[in-house]
Amino acid sequence: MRDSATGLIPRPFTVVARREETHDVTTLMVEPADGRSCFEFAPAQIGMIGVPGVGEVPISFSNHPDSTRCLAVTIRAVGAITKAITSAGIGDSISIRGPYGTHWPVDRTRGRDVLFVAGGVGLAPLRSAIFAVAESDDRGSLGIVYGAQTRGDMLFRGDLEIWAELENVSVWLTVDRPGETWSGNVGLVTGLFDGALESLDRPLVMMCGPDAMIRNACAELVRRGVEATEIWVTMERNMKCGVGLCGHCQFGPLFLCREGPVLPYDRIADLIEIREV
Amino acid sequence: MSFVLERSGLGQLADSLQEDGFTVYGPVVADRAIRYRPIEHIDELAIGIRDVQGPGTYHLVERPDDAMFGHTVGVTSLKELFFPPHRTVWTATRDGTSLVYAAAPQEHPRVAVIGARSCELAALAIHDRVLLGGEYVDPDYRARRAGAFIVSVDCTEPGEVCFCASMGAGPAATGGFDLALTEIQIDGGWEYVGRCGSEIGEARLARVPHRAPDQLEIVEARSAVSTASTSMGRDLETLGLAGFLGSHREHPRWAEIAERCLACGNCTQACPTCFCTSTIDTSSLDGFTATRSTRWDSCFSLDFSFMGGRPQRSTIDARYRQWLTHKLSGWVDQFGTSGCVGCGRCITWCPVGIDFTVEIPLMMETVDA
Repeated sequence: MRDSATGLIPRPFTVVARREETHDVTTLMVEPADGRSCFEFAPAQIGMIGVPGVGEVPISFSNHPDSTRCLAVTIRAVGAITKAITSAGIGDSISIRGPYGTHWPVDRTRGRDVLFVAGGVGLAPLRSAIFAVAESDDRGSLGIVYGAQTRGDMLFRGDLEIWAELENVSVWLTVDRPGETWSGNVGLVTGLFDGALESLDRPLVMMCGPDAMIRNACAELVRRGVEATEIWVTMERNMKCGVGLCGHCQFGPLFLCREGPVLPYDRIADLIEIREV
Repeated sequence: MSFVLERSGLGQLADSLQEDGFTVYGPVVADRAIRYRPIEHIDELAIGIRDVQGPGTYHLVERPDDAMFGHTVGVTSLKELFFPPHRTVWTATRDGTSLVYAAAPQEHPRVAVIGARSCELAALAIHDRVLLGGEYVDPDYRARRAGAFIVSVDCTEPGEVCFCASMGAGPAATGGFDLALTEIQIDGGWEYVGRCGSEIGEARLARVPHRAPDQLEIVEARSAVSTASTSMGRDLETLGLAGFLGSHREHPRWAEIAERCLACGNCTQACPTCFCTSTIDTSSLDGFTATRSTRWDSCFSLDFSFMGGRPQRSTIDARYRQWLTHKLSGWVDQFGTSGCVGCGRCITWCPVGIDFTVEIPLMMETVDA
């Protein structure tokens, strides 16, 4: 039992670096400003990231999970709170509390092939897991399938290039709108499954993206014989407390801050088909 | 251990709690309704008053007698005492270039309640599971609960919208009280046949005049409660209910209810178990302090599910479905208990009188077995 008196009190962090990933997505590198050490987190666990007096949003950390000095949060500026956070400059203070919730099943990837599927800003919560798995001595082949609206909306393009160079790692990219500078694949991530699955033997799947992508891509993988229990997805909903007390993040009977954000697909397969759960 | 208090003894019980620093709450007439309010003396309670409740309707009438607890539950529940609508969580203060976050100070009056109904105690037991039963607990709620003294009074005249018997939450209290009373009238005088529920209850009782009940008093008290349990204004079949609602999220009845539902959220505010809160972040004009507080929220608001620039539950039928399936189905998965105690407040305080004890059977009727 933990007092939410401590679980709900944020810590101050100072922005030490910023990177504009796309026109509306920013990564902030932050260090603790209270003299204590950084959070330890497992990939995809949530931090409640905020600006005092403005509000908080749930964000999965996007840095290497072994990083001891800094945390990275990659945030798309959509509303008032995310705009306030992403406009923080170097030296500014933001608040963080956590980590909360479940994490990617990195410990289950030993000796196995893994397929990562991401849509849009959904690559951010997968990034720390990809780092952890790609560096493992005891991994199988990896496939990374990533779709974004346009080439300009793709996150971590430098990382994608590095991952593509690794042995037994294949990276598959697609966009919705090719524009003039894109000569690669166009369409949904499911259109890349033929190629990506060819080199993978009964892979464990980790997937993060919009509900519509999860719905379609999971159904497609199951149709291709992947067990629903072998597909792990992240689900996101409005969160206020992060610790199962405020009721906001319910998805059917689940509290996504507690049972999620990472869940095996079989636990949400029925719910995600229903409108506005 | 059973006992009998005269009305004067009940008064002395209230006095003794006040002498020991408790703020004593009881059901009084306020805002033309029965509400829990601090009292100085038991004469302030809603004596000789009966409430008339129905879907979307509530008013008080005079009773032909001067029963002290001859009414059912009022508009607000004990929730507002133990889980107040607004609470401060932390403040952040600028200290040079850095920010210091500190938990809000915890100071709680010691609360005693005289006249809590069994459905209220059942609701508190549910809140105990929700707010204290998980990995993270609500320290403010814990402190308020820990210091409380509760005198319950069994319901002997259930109301038109009551169905606590269906929910296993009444009409007699089975736990969660320090002292429990049944109000009976013998030879024109009012007596309170009671039982102790805790050591502090026994100790408190020892300080006020009381005696052992005689056979007639025991029989009268039992009969008053058993009559009440068979005269509920509503009933709800709970067998298979959680499974039914959880697996019928696309039933057409949700949309039919939504045509009447105003999404006002009254049901969630009146409900003694609804626990959802939102956060409010404010900063001082000089920019040196910021405060985080929580307030009761309602799953009927568009803001409740707002994420990524839009509400996830944009339609009223999705929001009504969220409320009812959580209350009666998801709650069971989450906390091992239904979220409903059958107090009927959501029926009475719904401006358009939506009554789920009517809606659910209709929903079940139109589904093939």
